[in-house]
Amino acid sequence: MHRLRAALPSLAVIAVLIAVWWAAVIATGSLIFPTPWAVVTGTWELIENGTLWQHISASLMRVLIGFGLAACVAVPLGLWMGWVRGAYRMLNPLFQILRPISPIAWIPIAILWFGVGDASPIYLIFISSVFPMVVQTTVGVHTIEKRYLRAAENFGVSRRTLFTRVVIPAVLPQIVVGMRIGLGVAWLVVVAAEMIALHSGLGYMIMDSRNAGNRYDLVVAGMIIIGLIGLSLDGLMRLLEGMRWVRWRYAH
Amino acid sequence: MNREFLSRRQVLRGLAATLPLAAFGCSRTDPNSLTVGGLAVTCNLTLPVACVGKSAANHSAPPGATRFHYEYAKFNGWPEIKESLMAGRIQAGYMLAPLVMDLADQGIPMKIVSLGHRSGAVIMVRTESPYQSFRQLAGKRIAVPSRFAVDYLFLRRMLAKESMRIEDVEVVEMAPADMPAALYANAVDAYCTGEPFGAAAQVAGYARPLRMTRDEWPKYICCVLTVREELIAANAPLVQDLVNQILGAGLWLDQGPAHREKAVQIAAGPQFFNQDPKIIRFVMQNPSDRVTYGDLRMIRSEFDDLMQLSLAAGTIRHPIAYQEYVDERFARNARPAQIRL
Repeated sequence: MHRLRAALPSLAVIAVLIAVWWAAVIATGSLIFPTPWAVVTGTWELIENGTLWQHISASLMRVLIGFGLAACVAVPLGLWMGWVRGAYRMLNPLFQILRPISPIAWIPIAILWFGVGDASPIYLIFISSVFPMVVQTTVGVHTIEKRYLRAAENFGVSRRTLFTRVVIPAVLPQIVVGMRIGLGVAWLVVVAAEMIALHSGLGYMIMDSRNAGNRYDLVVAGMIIIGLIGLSLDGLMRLLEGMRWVRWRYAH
Repeated sequence: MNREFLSRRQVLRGLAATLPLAAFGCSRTDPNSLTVGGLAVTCNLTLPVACVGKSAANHSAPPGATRFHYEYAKFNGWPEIKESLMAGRIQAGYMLAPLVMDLADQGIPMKIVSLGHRSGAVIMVRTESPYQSFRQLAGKRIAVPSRFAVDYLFLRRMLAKESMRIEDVEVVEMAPADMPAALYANAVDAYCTGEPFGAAAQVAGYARPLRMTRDEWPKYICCVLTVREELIAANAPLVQDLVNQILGAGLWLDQGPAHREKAVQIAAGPQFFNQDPKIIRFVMQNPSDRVTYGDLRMIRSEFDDLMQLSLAAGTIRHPIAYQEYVDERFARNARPAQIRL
């Protein structure tokens, strides 16, 4: 009951927005812009013919693989770059150059390297989400409070123990923040990545509906579904932040 | 307090300064000037030629004569042109014929007033691939721009001719610009699209045409000049003149290699296709009827054929009457303009 009451203002804003949208479409008599109801019926059409689940599961699969690979690469790399100054000096400029390149710019190269199957969109998602996670993890190591390191040194621990017993636990909260950002970016670029998808995916669905004549109801439906799934994914990542080995950071 | 007042006053002053500019922006639109949307494909080549031809004609027109002016706006894909036309951001553009049928049927006020070309689509395979006949593509992966593109209808027609079904091949959709690279990377076995994306791979040396509309469907139409009905109502003489220019450009383009070469120089320029002239020249010359422009008559039975093919492909849901999407009067009253370039 309390949570419902807390959610009321945001639900009210969304309801007002939908009402304004609806009124605007009716007032302008637009033949192109769909009403919220047209979006609902369009979505229902996709549910009935079963393609909606196909699109959602294809997108989720690509994003989770792309993001999973990115996390596997980014976390160790970020720890290494944070801990070893030479690695940071060597790799950071390259990553800062690669980081701002839009996945759309990568499309021709992705096709050359990976063809037009699932591998290309997965690569585009990987390349978009790996750098934010590397940066966040590196920053995490760089910003460990010096007193933790000094305290450990006073106990005379080896560099290896220092890394595994002090550095990693200290950096975990930053890693989780990085993963949350990385997953957000991975999901954000799903439409761009699926411009080269073959038959499925929410991004493909949006592109395909644009190619069709007047199916902007499905374009908007795709946008809303992407938004709602993005919200759920972020909620899942926030659960990670609530775990004991991460929460110490926020207790300060 | 005083600072806040000043900043607010500055904002107001800024607004006041921009208002006349906005008014100027509105009044600047010359009713005899028209922006026409198109893609950088050789099926749209009549458009740059018509724009440049008209501009040259305006220079030599007697003083006091009405001077229409056409500007080419390059778009990156059919959805972008379609959306701009639907929203009325542009009043005219080259569009895919079946897409106009569908949109007109849904009440979007637009009409086809002229063809833009004939032929000009190809099915490309890798040079060293074993494919000699279309039938050998059974079970292979073939790229088309989209299910709503006329290239897809070309593919379906080829399948029907060989008594094959659409399930006999794996059709994948991708942007034509990505197709040469996809073929190069062996990500697809063949692709079916409009020029110059076939020639791009052929000039680079790794692809050859397996089938061309030139041999299989010489009357093939994909891009048609489409205008919004408001423009027809507001300025029919301008639409008529544009159709005359397009038809004139078509005749001019088919009057020999010298004109084709001139068209290559025009189209390759940055304000038009901004492409490698070598590739456009290749399309123009290998062979010279790879794309044709001389016969731009609108023939009802050809549109009916396209509609039936679209119906069979499932991209149109029900038959659409010819008069719903075509305004024939401009073609009927057309007097092809003399292009002097």
